[in-house]
Amino acid sequence: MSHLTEDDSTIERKYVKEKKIGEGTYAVVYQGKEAATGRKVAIKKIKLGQSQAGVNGIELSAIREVKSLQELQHPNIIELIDIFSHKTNLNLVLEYLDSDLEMIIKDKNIVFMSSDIKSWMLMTLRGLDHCHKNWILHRDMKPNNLLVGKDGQLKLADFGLARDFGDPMAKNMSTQVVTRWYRAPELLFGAKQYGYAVDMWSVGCIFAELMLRVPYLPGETDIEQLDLMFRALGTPTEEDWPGFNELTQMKFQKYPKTPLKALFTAAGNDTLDLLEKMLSYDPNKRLTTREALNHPYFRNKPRPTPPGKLPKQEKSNHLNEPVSPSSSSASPY
Amino acid sequence: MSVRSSATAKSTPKKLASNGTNRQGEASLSNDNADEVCPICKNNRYLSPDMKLLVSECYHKMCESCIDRLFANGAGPCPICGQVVRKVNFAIATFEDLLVEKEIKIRKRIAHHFNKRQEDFPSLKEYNDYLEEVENIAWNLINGISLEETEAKIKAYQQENHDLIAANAQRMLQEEKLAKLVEEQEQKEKQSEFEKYQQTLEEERKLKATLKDEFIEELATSDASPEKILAEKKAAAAAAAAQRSSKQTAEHAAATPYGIAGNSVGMWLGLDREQMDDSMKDYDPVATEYADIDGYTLREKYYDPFTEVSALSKTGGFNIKFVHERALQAAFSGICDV
Amino acid sequence: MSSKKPKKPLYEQSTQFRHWRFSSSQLENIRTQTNTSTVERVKRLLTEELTLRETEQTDSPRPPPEEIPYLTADEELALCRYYEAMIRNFPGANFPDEVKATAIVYMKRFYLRNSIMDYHPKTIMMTCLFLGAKTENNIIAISDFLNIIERISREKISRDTIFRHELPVSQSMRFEYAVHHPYRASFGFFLDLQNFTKDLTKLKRIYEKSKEYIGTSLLTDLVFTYQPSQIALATIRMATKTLEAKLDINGYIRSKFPDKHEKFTDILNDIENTLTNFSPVSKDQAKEIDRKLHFCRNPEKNPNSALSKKRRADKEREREVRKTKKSKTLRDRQKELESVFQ
Repeated sequence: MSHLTEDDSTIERKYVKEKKIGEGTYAVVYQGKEAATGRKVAIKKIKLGQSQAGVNGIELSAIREVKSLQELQHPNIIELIDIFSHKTNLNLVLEYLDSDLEMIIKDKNIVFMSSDIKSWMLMTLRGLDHCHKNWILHRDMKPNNLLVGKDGQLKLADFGLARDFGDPMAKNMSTQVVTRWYRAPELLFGAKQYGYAVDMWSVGCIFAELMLRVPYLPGETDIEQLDLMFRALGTPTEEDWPGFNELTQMKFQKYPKTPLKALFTAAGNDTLDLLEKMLSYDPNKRLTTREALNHPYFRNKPRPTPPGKLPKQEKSNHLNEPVSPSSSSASPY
Repeated sequence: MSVRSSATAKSTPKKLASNGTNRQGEASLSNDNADEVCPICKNNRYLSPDMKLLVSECYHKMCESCIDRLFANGAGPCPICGQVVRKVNFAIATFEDLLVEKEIKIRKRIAHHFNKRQEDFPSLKEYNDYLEEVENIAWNLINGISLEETEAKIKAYQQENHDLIAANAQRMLQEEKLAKLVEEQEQKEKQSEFEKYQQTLEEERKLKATLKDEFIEELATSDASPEKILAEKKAAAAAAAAQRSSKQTAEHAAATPYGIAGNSVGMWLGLDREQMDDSMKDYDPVATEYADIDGYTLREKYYDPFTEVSALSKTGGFNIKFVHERALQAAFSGICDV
Repeated sequence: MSSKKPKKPLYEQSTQFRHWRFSSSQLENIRTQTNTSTVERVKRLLTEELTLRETEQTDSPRPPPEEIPYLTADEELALCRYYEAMIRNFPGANFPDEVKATAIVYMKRFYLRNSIMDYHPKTIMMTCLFLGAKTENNIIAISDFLNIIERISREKISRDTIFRHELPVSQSMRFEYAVHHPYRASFGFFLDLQNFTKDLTKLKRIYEKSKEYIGTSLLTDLVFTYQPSQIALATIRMATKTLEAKLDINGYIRSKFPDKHEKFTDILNDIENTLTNFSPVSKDQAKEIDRKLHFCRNPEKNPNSALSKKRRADKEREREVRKTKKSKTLRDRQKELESVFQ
């Protein structure tokens, strides 16, 4: 990235905006290209001082996104190529990816093999592992934010809610993070301090969704989300999750635990074992990214499909409206 | 390559039922052999067709009457080997060859303890080594070789792997439950499919009948040419059929919302999912170009008067270990950058 | 699939490592360069300002631009240091150590390539503190922030000033917000040393003392020249000596880093020297520099200067011209269309 020797107008001229591909509450996204190389880019234009939080200067989510992306370099994390500001706009130049996992899951013309699912899970976990290694929580993991390029590579995007963890001073972490359908139980119960496990729960839900082709726990409200969760996985007991009765005062209907095999009929034992451990109620028992990557599922047959051979969409259509309730802008960018 | 002991472990040879058959109502094998002789009273089947030979704990056969006679007053020595046995410990042998009987019993016992699965091993080779070991132990026990040593091995293994054994035993139970559940569901599905099919046949028949009646009516009453009427009817029938079939596929798709996944079930089932791919031995799942920070070992507990972690935080998934590990990583990160 | 390439250390990924490490000589060069080019530019602008004033004759006479004693690079640095130190006066309740440290580093980075003749360090200091609170997850509402400023300095500052400077400050740091400080590393050593000594009370005091030294290090250029972990270890070593603890810190260091030991000790010694030889900028010194600054500030940045007024007028005129041009084009096109239909 250019550094201090060029001023913003020079940088701005390096990139050409071509067409609008998305719009959200605080940003507009364009598709463009790097003038010199013709490389496709996505330019996220963030309007400063206009949204509700604009009362406090540069948007916190803009800061979070920029701060995180600058420090993370990994093939499964979207690359922040450049930044420039223009009058009252902040522009992020990101790498451009055609498609995302949500579009792929919804496309009825695409058939998934278990090796494909394994490959996407592998890339997702690798990207997330890198975040956690750097003590960064993504906090908005969902298929819409897992971008997929023409070469089949999957990349984590939209770090607008990301923040670090493992900070003893952070005693009041927000619970209104992660899109509801992928939100971990401890967040729904209002935990003020949490850790890597919140991202892992989301990955578990994504794993389930890849197998089912529909969202696993699509709750319309927070209460409904919990209800759906308990129906699917059984109401947690004190044994499952020590201390959870202290976390919430609410009383819930006691649903029994049904084995995952009943719903995921075609999944192998190793698949179910991994899924179960990702969806453990007690966040302390939930798998870490390392543990997940070392799970036999990834070493067992079938081998994960090489990214180049993964099924893809026939044509990309960026103006699809996502069905999941968004906690940030509609476009993953 | 891999020897698997019987998965459906039930306990010891079946206890005697009053009609000479075991609990499953299967006739015992030994009843059919006319040359069977009781080694004690030398009685044979020819002379006493009702003679039943039972097996003792020490794997010696004798007929019921001898057992009654010898052990009427409780425990006593086996007439063949002298080991103390009781009347109640005699049972019908499942297999004629007592050696086989003994072997089965031993193998079942071992399987109960040595129940590790392929997934518990990092490589196929190690799994096979384990199986070889188990086989050696079984062999020793069956043939009475270094019994003491082998028993010790078994005990040691049991203690070491206590948790894993319990876990695997649980899993097996679970799997049996699941298998049953799946089977039941499949049965139900088949049944409902069949019923639906019957229904459709019935509907088709009715429709055909109605159309036929209408046709005849029309022919009788209408002024149009018979050919035209026939053509119309045919078209109507075709349309109705098309509508019905599309309705069916829609229903079918709706009934299985996981329709797409269902289609690939066939593809999945064909694969041996649990077998580790040998070529994956050198596989590095993490595949990162960055090294882990080393130079320290994270302890379980430190003296830390600075960090407060409430119980509630722990429940929410915040562990003080995060704080410690992060600090240690910060301390050793880049320190050797000279 | 397994790569035999040696793996990169994780810290090499950070922007702090990639873009914000300089040797002392490099720092000197950069600052001198900034200062020289600024002086030239300001001279020009002041000359222009003067010519404008002569025609307006609105102000009392000022010395000619050629004769103004402009600030030197050292003087600039000193005033910055003075205001960096002032950051520590803000209440710890709202601004924990990490936030203040980040703010100071932002300020340092800003003034590598910018001059106090363009931006007064007081404004930048407050902007950095506000920004630092945000980037370190300690966000403070602007109204609360302004109240605290008023309470401490008895000065009123407008929210607009802070907001207006957020972007320039961010830009000059290339939006590289993440800063790593020695505080966490020092805590890490506090934990690891528990394997090395049983005297935990002493260890606790060593750690607390080291934090004081880290605070001092922030007022030097150490953040640019060394890794935070190295600074942390040096402060721990210093604290051990100061408190005369029986901890064999050198033994610990030797055991942990057996190779490159000599080079390593050189680094620690250098850090220690910098810290012991550090002396803060006095209030008098600061006042003196501030007085000098008054005469060589960039007139463009003063909204009431003749130059600024002229610039605004020019811009306004330009906009008008563009507007008339645009409407003319529209009118012409309209006429064209109409003519077609006649």
